[in-house]
Amino acid sequence: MDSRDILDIYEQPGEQEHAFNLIIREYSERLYLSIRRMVRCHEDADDILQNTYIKVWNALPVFRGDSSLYTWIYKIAINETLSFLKKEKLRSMFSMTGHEETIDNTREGESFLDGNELSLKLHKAVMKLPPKQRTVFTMKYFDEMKYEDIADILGGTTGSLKASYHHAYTKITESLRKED
Amino acid sequence: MRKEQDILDDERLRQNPFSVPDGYVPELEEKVHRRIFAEEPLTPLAVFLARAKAPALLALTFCIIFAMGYGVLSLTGTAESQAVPSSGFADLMEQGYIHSDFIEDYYDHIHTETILEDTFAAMEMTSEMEEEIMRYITLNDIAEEYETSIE
Repeated sequence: MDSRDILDIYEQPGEQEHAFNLIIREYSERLYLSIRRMVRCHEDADDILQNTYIKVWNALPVFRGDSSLYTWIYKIAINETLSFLKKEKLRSMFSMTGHEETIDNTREGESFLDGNELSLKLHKAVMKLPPKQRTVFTMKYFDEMKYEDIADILGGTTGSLKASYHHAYTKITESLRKED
Repeated sequence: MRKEQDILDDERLRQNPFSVPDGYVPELEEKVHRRIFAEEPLTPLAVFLARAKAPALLALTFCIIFAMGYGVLSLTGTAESQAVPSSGFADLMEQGYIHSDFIEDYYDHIHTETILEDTFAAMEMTSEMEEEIMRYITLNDIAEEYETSIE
């Protein structure tokens, strides 16, 4: 269903909840997969996505339509993921277990993982990146977004994003080299 | 170096290794609904109180710290307000250390009601002007005595 169709339904009296349900059914898979790449486990992705939809529900009345509906929701989801990653990093600083150890333990027990060995190594390397670099790398490398679009979502300049991506790229290649 | 760069250039790596768990989306829809629609909508006051909670707690903490500090100072006596010092000039005059012809002469005049009344009458002074002059030229004890004598 087109986002315009969903918005038309939303604007009809008493149809807001119905339109919101359509949004969840239409966009959840794409959003989940984008978020899942950046977090340790399914439960984290689920929490982030739930929080995203709550914000979407509260902000829908003031959605201006400057961008497509999916782009707008994606922006909320990415920023929600970034906030989550920053909080998680802070928590791990005070945790008795190391941050890398919790990543490895969670990753191995994954039940819905389709990737191969190299993909697993790549994901581990991505998980070691700081929150901002992880987000930029994921959006650029996996989602193949343009720097301008990334800047629109995360803020900052394309120059700083390029630098962030380059640092992330270098760290990942070094990490893969160590794994070999 | 070249090898590692080739690895990341492999298009297969760009594919998402994860998949959406079976039945996840309907379950997600239900969970979101529960969180949004099962709860009572927040009133503006409730929203304000929720947002004001953290700064209010911070302010309360500062108040407690300030009160504790003030309490310590009070107990040690350093917070006692000192009495307003009396006019040293008047004390010295009473004890005879300072002599002023002007003040002594005027002191005599204050005891003489007639002279004072004549003086104010000759100057055509209003009651407000009289009060202003008295406030300006008298010391505490002289002013008090004057008020007593004119009643």
